[in-house]
Amino acid sequence: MSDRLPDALIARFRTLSLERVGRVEATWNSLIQGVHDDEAIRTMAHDVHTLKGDAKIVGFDEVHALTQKLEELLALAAQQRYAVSEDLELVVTMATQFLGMLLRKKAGATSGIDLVGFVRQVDEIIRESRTVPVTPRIVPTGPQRQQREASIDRLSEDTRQRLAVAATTTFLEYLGARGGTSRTRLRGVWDTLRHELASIRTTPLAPLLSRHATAARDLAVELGKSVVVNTELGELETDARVAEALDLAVVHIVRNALDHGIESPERRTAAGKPTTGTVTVRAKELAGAIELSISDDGTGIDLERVRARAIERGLIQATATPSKRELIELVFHPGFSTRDEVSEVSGRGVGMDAVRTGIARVGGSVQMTSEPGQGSTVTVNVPIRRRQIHAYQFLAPGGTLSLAVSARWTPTMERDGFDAALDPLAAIQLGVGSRQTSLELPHTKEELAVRLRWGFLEVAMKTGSEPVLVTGERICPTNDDYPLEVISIKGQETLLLRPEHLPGMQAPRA
Amino acid sequence: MKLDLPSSTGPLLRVEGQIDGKAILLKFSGEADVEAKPEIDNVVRKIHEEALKLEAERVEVDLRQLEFMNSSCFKVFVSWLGSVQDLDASKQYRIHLLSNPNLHWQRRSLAALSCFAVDLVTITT
Repeated sequence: MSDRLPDALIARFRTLSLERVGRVEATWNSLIQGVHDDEAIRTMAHDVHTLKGDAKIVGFDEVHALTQKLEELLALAAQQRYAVSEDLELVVTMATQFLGMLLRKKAGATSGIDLVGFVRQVDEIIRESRTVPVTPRIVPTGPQRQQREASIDRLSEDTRQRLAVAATTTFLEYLGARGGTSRTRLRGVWDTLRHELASIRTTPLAPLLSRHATAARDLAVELGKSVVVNTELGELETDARVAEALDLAVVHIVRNALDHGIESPERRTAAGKPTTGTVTVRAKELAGAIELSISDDGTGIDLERVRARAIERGLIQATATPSKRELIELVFHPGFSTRDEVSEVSGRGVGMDAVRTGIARVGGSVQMTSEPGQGSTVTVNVPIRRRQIHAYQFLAPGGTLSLAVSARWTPTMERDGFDAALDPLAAIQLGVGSRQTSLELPHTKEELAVRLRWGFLEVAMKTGSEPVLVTGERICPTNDDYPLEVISIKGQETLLLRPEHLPGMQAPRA
Repeated sequence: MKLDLPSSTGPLLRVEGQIDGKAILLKFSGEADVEAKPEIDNVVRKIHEEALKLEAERVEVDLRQLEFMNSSCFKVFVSWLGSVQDLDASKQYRIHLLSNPNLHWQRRSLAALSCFAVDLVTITT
């Protein structure tokens, strides 16, 4: 039948079909490595279905029959959430290879290919796979992961730590796994845990803080004011504790700005200002910190009133002549307010004090500037938690694993101390077969030892290379008292050892 | 005569090759996971070249001590079969697989593999 169709059409069918098979194979490879992308799965199903239909039309009966089997295999794999048996994994890969072969063969040149025998194997594997229990190994990626809600993940630090330790342990198991599906699956679990940790460690600021713009407009209406709230928050992310402190700060400061700063439309008109006031919330990264500023174009702080209230409350002497800066600082004094009445919005005297206390808890600071008649700016600075780590990277004895210790340790090579030195693999209970790929450090066959010193601590360790000072990224932070952490050095996952916490490796320096 | 093969990149896979007249013997042992694919790629390419140079009639692949092979490595074998099929009939050589029925992965996958080229591949357990 295919012979009766124009050659150009057949050629087009082959080209398009081979592209489809290539896409199916790529998606399948991602899925079995634990990377799950709904859009790619839909495209894969569409490709297979279209290929089946096209093959029928152009008379490629063998391709049609095999594609039908591939559809069955993929449906079964989907039911098992792509945590499939080795046989199923292999036969899907082989089916795509088989399709590629059939599509490349000239018409009638399929001798030597036993499609019936292959389909029989497929059927048997389908039958067996339906009875084998499997566990899921899905790593959500792509748009799913990007749809982060404007909320703070409030997992406790303890829970985060437990997750980090579980992830690190899984990574160790993966390194020590002998191979095959178990190693692939452990890799998938490690990837899942690492991605989950990354997603709960950081909170994007823009969706979190910009929601206050809407709330502020509603509040302005309540107060009989007209306000526009602008936000310039970029794509900054920070950990949940800092995000929570910044969130509370913005709530208080914006409320204060609306209640105390922005004037009524009448007063603004009288002062020669636009009737609509403006509050601007900006955040940027500056010298290793997040600088958040909230500015308003309102009336500014009434410094005379602050001074009078401070004298009244005994915070300063009546004869004192505080500077403008000192007067503004009084606004942060616990319970301080220039309001005679407590309003529904602010004026309880807890606002700016609460802001400063909350920000101080995450290691930040709050400053305020104000110009009479022109408005005020509150500037919040919080440090960005360090994700980088300086470390000495070296290979494990045997050269199959990348290891590191913090750069606070000073390494000295010892040519003769190998036998007495501790084996890091044994210390972390990894077998000699544990391994990684793509290690970039030059491995030496020599029996080397490195002596590590930090303060009064000293330990000699077997090594497969001379330590190199590098900068790594903390991708799965564990507490300082945990003996291991997985860091990334130039994209290579590396086990960071904390020798002081490894069993049997602590020794007081002589 | 021992055949010089590309050096091993990982600790788990071992490959030995030998030339015996018009036959090449290839013995895999250990495990071939995804990290072993480049090595298997190189070995198979080398064997194919040697087979053509020798005008070999047969390549015997002993997999009896290969405990695992993942799908990426399997694809190398599929491509190999394709390369042999694409040769002129006069240059084609047969591939004989020695399998171990006690290793689960070999039971189905080698049978499926042979379906790619039943006239070229034979399996002995």
